[in-house]
Amino acid sequence: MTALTTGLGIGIAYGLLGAAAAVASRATRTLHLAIGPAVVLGALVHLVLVADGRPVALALAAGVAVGALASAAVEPLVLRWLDDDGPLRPVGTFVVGAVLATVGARTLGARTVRPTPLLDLPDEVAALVVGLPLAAALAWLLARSRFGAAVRVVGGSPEAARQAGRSVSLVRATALALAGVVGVLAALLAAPMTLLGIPQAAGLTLRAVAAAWLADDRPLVAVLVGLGFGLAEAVLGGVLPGSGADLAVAVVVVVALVARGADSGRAWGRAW
Amino acid sequence: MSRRAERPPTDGPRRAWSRPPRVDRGPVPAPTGGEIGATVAMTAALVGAAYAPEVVVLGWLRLAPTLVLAWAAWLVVGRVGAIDLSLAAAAGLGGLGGGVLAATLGVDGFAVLPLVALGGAVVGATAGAVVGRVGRLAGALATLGLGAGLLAAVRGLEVLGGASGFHAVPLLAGGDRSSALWAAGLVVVAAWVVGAAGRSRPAALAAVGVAAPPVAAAAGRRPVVDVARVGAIGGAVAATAGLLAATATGSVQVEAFGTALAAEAVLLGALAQALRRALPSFVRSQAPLLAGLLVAGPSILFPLAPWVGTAPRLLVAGPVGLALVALLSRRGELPTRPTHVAFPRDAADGTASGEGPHGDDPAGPTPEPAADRSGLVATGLAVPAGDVGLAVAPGEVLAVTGPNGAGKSTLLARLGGQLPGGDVRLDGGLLDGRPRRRAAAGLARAWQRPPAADPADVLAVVAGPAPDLAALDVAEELLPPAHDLTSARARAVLLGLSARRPAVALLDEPAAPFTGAGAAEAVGAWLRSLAAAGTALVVVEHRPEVVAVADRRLEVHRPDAARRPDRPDEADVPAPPGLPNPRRGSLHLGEVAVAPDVCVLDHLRALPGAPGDAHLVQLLSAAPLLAGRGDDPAGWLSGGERQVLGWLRVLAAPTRELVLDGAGRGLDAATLAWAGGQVDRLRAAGVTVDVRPGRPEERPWGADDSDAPDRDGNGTGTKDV
Repeated sequence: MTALTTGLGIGIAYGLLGAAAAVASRATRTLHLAIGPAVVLGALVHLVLVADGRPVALALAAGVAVGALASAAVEPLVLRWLDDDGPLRPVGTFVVGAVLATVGARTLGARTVRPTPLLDLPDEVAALVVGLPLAAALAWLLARSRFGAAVRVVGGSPEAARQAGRSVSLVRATALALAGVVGVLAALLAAPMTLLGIPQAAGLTLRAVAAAWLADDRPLVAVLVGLGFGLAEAVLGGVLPGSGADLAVAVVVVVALVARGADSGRAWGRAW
Repeated sequence: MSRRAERPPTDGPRRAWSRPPRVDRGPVPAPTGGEIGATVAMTAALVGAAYAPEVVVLGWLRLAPTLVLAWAAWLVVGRVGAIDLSLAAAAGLGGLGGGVLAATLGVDGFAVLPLVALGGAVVGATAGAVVGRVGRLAGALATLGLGAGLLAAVRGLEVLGGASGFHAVPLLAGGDRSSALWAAGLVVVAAWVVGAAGRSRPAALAAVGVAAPPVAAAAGRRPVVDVARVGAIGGAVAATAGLLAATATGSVQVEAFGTALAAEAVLLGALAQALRRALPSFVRSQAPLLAGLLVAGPSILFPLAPWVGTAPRLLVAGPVGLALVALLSRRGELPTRPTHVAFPRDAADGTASGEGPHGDDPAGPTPEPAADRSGLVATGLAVPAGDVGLAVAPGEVLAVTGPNGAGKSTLLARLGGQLPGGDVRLDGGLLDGRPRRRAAAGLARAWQRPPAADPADVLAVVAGPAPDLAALDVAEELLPPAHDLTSARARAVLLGLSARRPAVALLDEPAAPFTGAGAAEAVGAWLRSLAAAGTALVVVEHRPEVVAVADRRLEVHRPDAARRPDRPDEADVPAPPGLPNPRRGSLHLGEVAVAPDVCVLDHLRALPGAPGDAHLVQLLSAAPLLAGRGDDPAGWLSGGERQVLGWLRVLAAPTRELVLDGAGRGLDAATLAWAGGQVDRLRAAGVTVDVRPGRPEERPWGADDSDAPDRDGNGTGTKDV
């Protein structure tokens, strides 16, 4: 029962991360394969500063800022230069993520920090209290706000956005930064319930981007998918302690994608 | 666009692209003389490295695995375009074999190479099948999961002795020089195998299967099989790289085959492909080798500083590699270097290849048209206005015309099986609903948006398993030349249709990608040549020169009331809201682009400086064609309706300077008059309007007010500055 409760709690955190990835995906028309390392970097900055005795608010601001900058860096480093008509953009975001992870491992990775909860609540309750409203806010922002409309136009057709006088780079970078902010919060919600470090960054990327993809970039549905991942970890991960959680999520992701079939539900152009 | 792209194509490159200069027959085309020479030179250099001073030999042993991985990555990521993030895991299996298995069996690493390669092939084939099933982007995600799952399983089994890893055995007994020589041999073999695979027809089929799965299916292909075949070769070579890495470093650690190596692998593949496009022809076959040297060389062979030599490789290789890829990859440019097309061995005379429905290529050849063939008959094809039926005889051209948004492309999609519905019969037999089965029965199609793949690969796929090269030569002379990558791809599709000689060809605006005088007429002549060969053609087209060659026309109408409310009487049209004050900057209104799944109102709300929702709703209500359609996705709009949306963007948040560049395209007479009135309003509000007419009806917009007739009585307008 405890494992299930933890699984639900961590699932909400994964779902929130998926919601953040959904916003990034809507704006960029590609997979944000650097989101894991970016949010882990931000979360580690916060945890290290707290462990060093800095005020929690300052540490949180610093962590969120690092995560936002790291996530938004994908725009000027990759998206601005590489064509979206082929494999180059996902390759570029993945390489940027790997470089971020390498930097993190060299700088923060050697530190051992005890993850501290964000709120003075049980970890699972904190995930629920923070995660669900945040995901709902993201969904509202994307669907109802003017910024969300701009994100969807940029993602649906960068040319349409340019014709409307919108800076495609600025909108994308802002969306990516927002994804980084929310992602760091999600990582901090997950930290007390699971291992969080540079070696886990790739796994977080898989969970976040898969949740967004399977949810067709709808933030609230991404939360449900993330819940599924959390439950899979709780139920199947116990079969193989240590690496069972990663194996369970990997199996669920691959099976879900294969069952679903070819890219669908996206308006990134059709053949006819 | 770069300067190179803006330079008009000379006759040389254009002609080199417009005609495939080299047609290769057989499963594996032979290498060119330049490729052979470059490989011989590479072999000599690699073998020479094995006899260099000891420090070079040790560096070479550390570099060799990266070079082998670069070849594997180029095949899968560069050549085929699949983002396989499990290549590192395949390499990890090789390391496992080279370390654990060899040591357990008490043999040299070389002895387990076949088994290791087989294991890698299984992983690669699985990854390829997954990519073929789910597409490129989802395939990246799935292979990330596949690789992570594999490594998690290995980690969980605890066969590698934990963090310290497992001590691996050498590749071969006999010391480092012996191992270095054999490593050189493995690199050369990998280069030959991958080079041959990259030239082969399966690679072309896989590339289109990844880039455009619906196109591959419509040509009778199974992307799952096509991509898996090439993935198996890539996986086997990647596993060999892992084996080399384990034997070179002497230990096997799971973390060594994780995210960093996966990133390095895909970077190597992308960089190698970018280098291929930039290098001279005699050396471009060695692009993967050069990519490996660029990525791994600085940290292994030539440390620029102690930090570079000891830092994780990706810290230097990542930024450098990405920068090179960005520099070398050009957008939308016509390939200036001729390529070859891999056709099957029997392509010469267009006879059956011997492969039937149960063979490798189920899309069998089309028989000669017989006098008693009835052609294509279809009923119950649902389009927005209702159900449509049609009949096309062999050798007949049926032109499908109608306004944008009437459902012409939808009609073709239902005929081709991309959308379900309708009763479609060919020569009296009911056709299976799936595109692949319809292709096997003799249907083929061209697409409104050409597939985003290399034109040579597109031609190889669309032409089918038994192309008629004589028909291909005729088509090459008839079709207009390509002037950019989009038209090159479109041309490749049309060439492929000629070579395929299908029973039925479905074409969606075949003349659209081609510009220049006589282009539309040339496409019309090509259509007649295809019909003369016995093909029944259904052609969606707007250009009158193409429609003129048709034997019959089918007009598809838009629904009158179902999608558009009746236009109210002029007296009931709400007054347009006042124009907001113009903001700084300039806007250009030409051909309007829209985000298909974003609704009309949100396109306006997304404008910088847009007024409140009430103002926007009022603006929409007063606009022609779009009144009451604020919630409709913009993808539903016809060309004229999109143009009106472009006008509304300008009116919702006008700027001080506005360029109208053919802004009246697709508009009917009443809407043109409305647009003219808006020009006057904008000028009255102080906007400088520069008119570049696309149609004669737009010329009065730019005229001096003293000369132009009053269009609608709303304002007097001012002269353009």
